[in-house]
Amino acid sequence: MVITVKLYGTLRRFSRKGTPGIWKGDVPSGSTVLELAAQLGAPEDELAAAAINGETLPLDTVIPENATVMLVTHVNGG
Amino acid sequence: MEQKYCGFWGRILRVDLTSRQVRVEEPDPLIYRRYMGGRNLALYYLLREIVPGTDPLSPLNKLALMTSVVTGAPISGQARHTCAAISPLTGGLADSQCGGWWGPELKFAGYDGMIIDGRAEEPVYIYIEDEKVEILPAGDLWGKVTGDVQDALRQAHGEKVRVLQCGPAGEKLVRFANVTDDLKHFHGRGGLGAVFGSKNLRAIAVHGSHRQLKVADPDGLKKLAQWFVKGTKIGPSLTLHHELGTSKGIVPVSVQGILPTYNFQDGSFAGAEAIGGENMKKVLNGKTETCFACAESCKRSLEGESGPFKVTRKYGGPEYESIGLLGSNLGVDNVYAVAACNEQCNKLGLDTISTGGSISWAVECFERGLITKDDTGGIDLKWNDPENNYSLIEMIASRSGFGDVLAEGSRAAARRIGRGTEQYAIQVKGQELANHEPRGKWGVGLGYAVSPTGADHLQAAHDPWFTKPGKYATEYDWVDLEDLAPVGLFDPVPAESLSGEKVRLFVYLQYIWALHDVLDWCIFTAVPEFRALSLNQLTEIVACATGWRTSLFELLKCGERSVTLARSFNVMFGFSSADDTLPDRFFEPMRAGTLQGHAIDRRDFERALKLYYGMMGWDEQGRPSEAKLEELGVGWVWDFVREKVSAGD
Repeated sequence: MVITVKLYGTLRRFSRKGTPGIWKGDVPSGSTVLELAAQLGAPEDELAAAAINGETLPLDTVIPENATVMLVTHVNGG
Repeated sequence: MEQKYCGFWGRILRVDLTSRQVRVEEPDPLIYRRYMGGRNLALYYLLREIVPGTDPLSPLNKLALMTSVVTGAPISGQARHTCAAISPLTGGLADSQCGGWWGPELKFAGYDGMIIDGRAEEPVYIYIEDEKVEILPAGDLWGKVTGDVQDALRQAHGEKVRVLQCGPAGEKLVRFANVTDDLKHFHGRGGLGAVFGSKNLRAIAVHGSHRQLKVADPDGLKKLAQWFVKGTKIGPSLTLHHELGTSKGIVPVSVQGILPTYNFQDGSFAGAEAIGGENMKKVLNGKTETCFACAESCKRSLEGESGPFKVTRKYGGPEYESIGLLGSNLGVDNVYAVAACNEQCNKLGLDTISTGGSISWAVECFERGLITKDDTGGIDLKWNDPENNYSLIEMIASRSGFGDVLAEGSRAAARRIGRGTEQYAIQVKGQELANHEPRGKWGVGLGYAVSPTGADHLQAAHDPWFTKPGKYATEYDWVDLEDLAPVGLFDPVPAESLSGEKVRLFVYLQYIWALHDVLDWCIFTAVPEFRALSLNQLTEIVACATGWRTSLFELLKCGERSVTLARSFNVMFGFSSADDTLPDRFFEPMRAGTLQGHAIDRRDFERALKLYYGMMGWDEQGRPSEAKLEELGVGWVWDFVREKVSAGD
């Protein structure tokens, strides 16, 4: 299934070339957020939280079709 | 003029605006070894010279502007300087570190710092060009926005002059007026701009000719500088920070539920992506800017226009804190409006955090019917009303209408209006909270409470970084707790905890953060959140600059010394443990967002305070003990603290 992933913090380095902060592509149906992160090559330790279609959900949540997933790291201001 | 010592001049400039006398003081070099600079050096003078009970806006208040033994060295991170005085906002210590250009420039003129006393009869500015120090009339600058004053001073003294100034808000003694360095860098907090204004001092323009400062080991310093430059090209955190600066934090923090929203009622904001750094860069054509000699270049400048909101590059662009306090915390999801309100604050010389926090207090009270149009002069207050916010900013700066009420800060405004509005003033010691929701990171809550300057998010690194075991990844990308191993911290602690382990973590982190304030060193180039220079490398930098055989132990003690000196200053001014508190809101369940229902446990908080005092060597009222002051090598401070302890205050 095709999903859109928005990447924040240091996870931006896993964006598709030419689309900073965005990864759009196929993931196996039934994938969880953690499995998505593994597919992108993002270290689990770096993943702080995720939102699916705007709602923050646990990292073992199964991603629905056509979802927009936000993956974020810990980032502080200052 | 020859620089006598490696890393510093041994010269402090003293300017008395009342008598118009200028002189140079040459402290013993051991003063520099013990205090090193920044906040410590400022407190060395302020503790000795300010009489407790002094009105912050009287001529008897003093402005201490300090650099450190590493300021001006050719390496990223050293460009900051300190400004300190009695705060017009809290009545205790105002202490702020500002990046940019002015601090190194003062050093290039041959001074490590300056103390400004008294009050000029008429508006003035100070012009410094090496040995030449002049107090010049500023009547024609008075009332002008900061950009115009900078242009006028550069026209008068040359394009290379660096200008530190308050804005019109400082002239009007707004209690959270700021001080700006080159229009884009700020002593934001504590109302230091009002202290400038109270002295009839609009600006300090400086240009120095000693542009290569003497350091003990230039080659060693060069190697460290080059190591850091490489990190800005390949380190994941450093490259990200270069690309987006602090604005990168808005969306992640909202997803995690700790983005202050609607006056800290909620922790997630539906408009976070619209105002976040990624969109701001795209929509407002963001470009990177920098401080003196810094390869990180994490500052922004923006440009764009939409409807009534115009943004120019002249005043930079909003940092994370400003985006939150002028954006989500006011329910504003218009990125142009957030940037324009930020620019308006910068032009007028207002702290964006306290400005936004004071307005959000008023909006919530209006929404609850506690403030009415009778109070506001007919103005309707509501969330997501940026045009109104823009007008209110001008009204605050000019102290006109309802702006005059807000210009006192939310605590004083609430006390004046009453009717239960006090509980919605989100402040500690009179200073509004920054853009960090403490219910998701309890250590930040402890930091807000015990900060000597009122609510301050920069007391220590924030909890979420230390919830997982440290793990070394690459040279420029090690993970969090690994950075703290040299001080003996290895164990992960949950973010929503105030256990003994958390308090210990906070105490050590506070020493580290305080060390940055003492060295006027930028946290964005160093440990632990940014995975850049390690604590041991920072120690090497001090050694290379000064030639001292120093150690991490000595440096952390220097950081600890500044925490206890700042505490002693506030004890002198009558502060006690009763002032180390948080607004009730944070002990109540969060209304909405990812952390809906989460709250800080009040009993845990009170226990943590006691543990904190004990670990710091302070008594149950939070007053430093004689033994701790002696242990820190500042036994002379006991004379000031003892009086309060004896009086049972």
